Amino acid sequence: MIAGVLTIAASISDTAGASASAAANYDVFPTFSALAPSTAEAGDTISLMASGLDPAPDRNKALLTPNGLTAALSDVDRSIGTGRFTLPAGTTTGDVGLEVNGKVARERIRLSVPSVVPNCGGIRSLFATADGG
Amino acid sequence: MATARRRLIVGFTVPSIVIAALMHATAAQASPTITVSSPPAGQPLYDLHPTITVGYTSDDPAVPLNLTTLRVTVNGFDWTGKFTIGPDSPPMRSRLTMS
Repeated sequence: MIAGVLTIAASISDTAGASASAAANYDVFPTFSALAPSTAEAGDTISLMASGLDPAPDRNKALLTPNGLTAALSDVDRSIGTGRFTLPAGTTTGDVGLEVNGKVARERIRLSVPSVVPNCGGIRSLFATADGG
Repeated sequence: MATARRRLIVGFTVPSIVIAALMHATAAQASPTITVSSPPAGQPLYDLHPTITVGYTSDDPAVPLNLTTLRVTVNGFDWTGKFTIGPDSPPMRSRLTMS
């Protein structure tokens, strides 16, 4: 089943021609089970495992840190429940979520993104003093 | 009042999908009724393989249900063919498991 809105409808008639019908709507949520690798940098390809993925890749989104940053999946293989996305610039370490057709999985999985802040050596050379110190 | 009863059970297997349905029709009303009774409407589904129960009835023995008119659709797709007929389970019930 694909996560999103599910509508089940049923109808039946009797032999006199009278009929009855019913319908029920549900929100179906994806299940997010794995992410690999667990440490990555911007531009890296990340694989995830989940149930309920939509076969249309762009209907599946990884929810990243900081809040509001997302990455649409680039491909999906529903037969094995996997998808991939490219980690966008600006992603920081945090818990990754999964949204499919607007429905967000309850599970979140940690992703570490190494800091790109320059080390102290870099700062020192940037502020070199006039006497060469 | 005498009541005519029929039961239907539906079960089939397709790759990675096991569908079983239990249907029961009871004649007794002036007009047929049908409900999607499980899962409860509006309930969030975290289980991607829910059991779906559909119940239907007609209590008037003189006007039985025409079971060839039964239709069950999922997001607009006709899943009726995934049902097979089996024994009754009171009070009149259908069950469909899907993945």
